[in-house]
Amino acid sequence: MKLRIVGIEFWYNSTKVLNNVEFSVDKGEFLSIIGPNGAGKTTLLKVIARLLKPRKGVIYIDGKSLWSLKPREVAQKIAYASTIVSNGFQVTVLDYVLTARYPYHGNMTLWEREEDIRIAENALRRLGIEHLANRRLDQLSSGELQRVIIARVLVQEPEIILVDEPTAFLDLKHKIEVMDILRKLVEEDRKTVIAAIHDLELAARYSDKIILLHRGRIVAAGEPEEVLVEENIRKTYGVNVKVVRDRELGFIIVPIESISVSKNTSDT
Amino acid sequence: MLKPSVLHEFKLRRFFLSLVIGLIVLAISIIISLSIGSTSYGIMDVLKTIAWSIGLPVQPSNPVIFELRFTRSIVAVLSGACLGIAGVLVQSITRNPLAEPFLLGLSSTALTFVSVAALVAPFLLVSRYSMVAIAFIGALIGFTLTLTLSEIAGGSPLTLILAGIAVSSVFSGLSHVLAFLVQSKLNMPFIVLLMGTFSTSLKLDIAPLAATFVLGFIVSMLIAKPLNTLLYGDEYAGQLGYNPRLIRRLSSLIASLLTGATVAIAGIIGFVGLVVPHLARMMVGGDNRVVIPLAAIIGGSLLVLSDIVIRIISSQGIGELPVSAITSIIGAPFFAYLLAKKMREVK
Repeated sequence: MKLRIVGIEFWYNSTKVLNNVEFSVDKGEFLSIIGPNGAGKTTLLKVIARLLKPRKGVIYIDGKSLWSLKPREVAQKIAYASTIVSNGFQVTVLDYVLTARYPYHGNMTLWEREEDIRIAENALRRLGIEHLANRRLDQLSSGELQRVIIARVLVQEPEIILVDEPTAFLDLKHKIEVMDILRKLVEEDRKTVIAAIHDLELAARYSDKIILLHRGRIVAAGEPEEVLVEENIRKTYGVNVKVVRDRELGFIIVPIESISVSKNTSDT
Repeated sequence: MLKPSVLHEFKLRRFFLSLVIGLIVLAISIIISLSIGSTSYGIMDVLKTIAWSIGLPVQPSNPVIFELRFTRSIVAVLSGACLGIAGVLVQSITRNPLAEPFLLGLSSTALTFVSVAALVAPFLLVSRYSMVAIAFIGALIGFTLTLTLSEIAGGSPLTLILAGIAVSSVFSGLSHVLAFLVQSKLNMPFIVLLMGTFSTSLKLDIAPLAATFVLGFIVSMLIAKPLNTLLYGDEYAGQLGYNPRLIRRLSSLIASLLTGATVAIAGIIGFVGLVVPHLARMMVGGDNRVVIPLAAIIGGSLLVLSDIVIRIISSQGIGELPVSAITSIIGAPFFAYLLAKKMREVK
């Protein structure tokens, strides 16, 4: 499944959030979208997920325009790992992940088929959270919740997986685990992963390609070593950094000083 | 550790078991309800008359009393079922476990509209169907007002409840005034509708209420799955291919119709739409496909039982109590409990 994005322009009311965004991703590629806060990363993901309609531009999936497909067809091809809104409705992890099978049901189908349950079972096992199946969603830790969300994405059986900040609120161990799972999906299942990500070192380590977004425009795109250069980061993040490339450790990006109005050094 | 396939099996089994138990409780409540009243009419008499009415060769005892009580009980069952489903819909689309048609102002606006119609165009009230239609429009306007006010105030779960209180207070005041006027002008016991009653239920009330219930139930079941996805956020529903705004509009229409119909026929009955969905979820979990049918049964049973209590109290010669008296006594503490327990979970 090839995803090609041509000349996307998106406006929130009178603010242009995405400006002539163009790129393409192949099957089995891990693409990270990086950029400072407000660069348009989340908006871009939502546009690809068909949750937002761009004012200009076209998104092609295997040559077909995204907006010419039926919503249900899109749901079978693209999954957006949105965070779950809190709830007080006594729904379990199993209830939640099974909803991802709905795009495969007919209009009049009321219950899940045996196949749906089996797919959910496999996804939970794969993420090592089979024991959480009967737990209520509001009783999970952030790390557990992140896995549940990814399990749900698997249950949806998409070709393209969109994730927004998959490592936010996670500790080091959980961060690496989630990224490993996503990488596995790319390598073993040949899925396409597009991740909006803040942590530049993680992006460098796990991505095949990186897009650097700044004020709604793509400033740099390509392999990690092409994009993650000191000049690019200084221009977009407003931070002087030292990029160290170690043969064993990969990229190490050390912030030196903020060059915006305040002189505070930033940690990331 | 139970496997998902086993858990799924359990869920379905628990659902069917709850359904069966619910139906048994409902049937028993109806039989008790038929046997209670000023004229003594034993359980055996009830069963005999039921047998007679379905064509069995037994001697019925006093079919006239039976018919009156039967009408009253069926209106109570249908009202409870309608309010139970309306509660599930309203809670799901607002994602607020404290939401309820009465608390969100649907009931008092519906009654206000019926009262205005009674004053301005009394001929409209000749047909129960047009009464239901007017109440439906009122409920829909009430719901829209509450949602709009809540959005203006910041759109949190708490502002929704507060906006509902504001809207329902204004319209409950209005409907009190109007109900007095209507009562003096039209010489009908309109005032009882302010707190709900089944004592005025007539045979011609059954058909419009039953039609509303059937329509509401079918549509709710058809959108039960999209409603499930809406629990996790609009974006979640959207990325599974549903249109959250469409689901929300359809649900608002159905919830207003269900509430409007009960208000037009039995008056304002509070808290049923709040308590019933939670009882259903406690029994079978949060999946709307099982919550909706169960809420209908529990709602029906709850109102028949409340009506029984009222008739027992009324038989002491103090006159007819309104239904809301009982449902508030049960429902308001439950609301307080939910407020303390759920509001911390809901952000």
